[in-house]
Amino acid sequence: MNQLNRDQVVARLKQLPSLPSAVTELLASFSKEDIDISQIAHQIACDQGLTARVLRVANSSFYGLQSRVGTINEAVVVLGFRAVRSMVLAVGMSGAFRPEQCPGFDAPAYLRHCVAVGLAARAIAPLAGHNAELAFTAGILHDIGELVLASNFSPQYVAVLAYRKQHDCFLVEAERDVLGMDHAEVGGLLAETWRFPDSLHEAVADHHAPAGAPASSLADLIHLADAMAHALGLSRQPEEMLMPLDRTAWNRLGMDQAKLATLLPQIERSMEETCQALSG
Amino acid sequence: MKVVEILPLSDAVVGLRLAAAVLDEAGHVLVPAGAELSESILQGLQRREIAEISVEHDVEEDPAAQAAYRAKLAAQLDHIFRKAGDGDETRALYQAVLDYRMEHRS
Repeated sequence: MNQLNRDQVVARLKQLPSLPSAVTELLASFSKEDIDISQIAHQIACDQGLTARVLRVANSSFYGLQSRVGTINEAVVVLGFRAVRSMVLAVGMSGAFRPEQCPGFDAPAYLRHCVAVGLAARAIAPLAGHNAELAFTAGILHDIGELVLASNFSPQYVAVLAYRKQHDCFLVEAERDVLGMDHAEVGGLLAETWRFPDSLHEAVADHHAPAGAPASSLADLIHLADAMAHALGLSRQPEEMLMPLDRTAWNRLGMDQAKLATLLPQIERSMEETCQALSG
Repeated sequence: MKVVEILPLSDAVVGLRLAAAVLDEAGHVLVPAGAELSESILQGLQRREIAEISVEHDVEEDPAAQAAYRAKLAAQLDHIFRKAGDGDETRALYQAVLDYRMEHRS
């Protein structure tokens, strides 16, 4: 029996190892008015693995810096606190799961897709009046429910992946049919457990049904970014498929074909380097 | 059609457009992507002993080859869009990606 229920998932989420302290501090900083940036920078710097990966992203052509930054403090000065916060959250949370124990879960394809959605979200953000760095983080994390399922409910998720292949259906359909829940719902539960700010919570939980989320949320933007990433085939998965675009999200973003044409090149330009910077 | 090509610097000529930024060994941008090569830029790159550069240029294409390429792209997109329906928004995305892929063929 592969069905999961909400209580079972929440109980497992509460048993997850705690996030790096710098990541927890940064999550809390969304709702604080007085943030001690130097203290947070120090906490990040104490985590060498996190620091190395954040600096790799900071020095990639994604940010187009004229000279390289060598410390978290320098990154905060040059790129700003919000950009560094985005990077640390993206790197720190994705690294908290071990989906390799789920046979059939294609971790490189997952990363490629999330990076593509992050880059697309970053490109769309200025057109929609959203912060580009937060949009990038939301894109990187939008499918984090898949990581939760693949790493914490591996046998059940193996059945989901087999069902999807057999029926050539959308992943969310396979998840609902096999588990009774989908990765957006599970991602939403993780967002509650880890106290994501509302904007990230809505992006994770509502990106497959953005019309139900507030117009000001990031759900519309991530929904479109997700579709653009799939349409470009950037995960390189043979079974990649696009879900119908939601008209409400499209209209609320004020999107049209001409705007899309200006956004598409921005995704592929930084794709390979950002994947490299965020992997490992 | 735009074609991206890696050229030895010795074969680069004035007027070509850079497809990717030229970086020095430390990763600093010497010339940004999209810049048009001038005599002084070429001389600067020679002085820095840059071996090769990535350029893009327009080429006339055989209409039959173009149609074949378009059909191949459409088949790939049809596969990805196989369950996406025919809503106006979805078709706009399909067309934007098809046009983009035709324009930026490498």
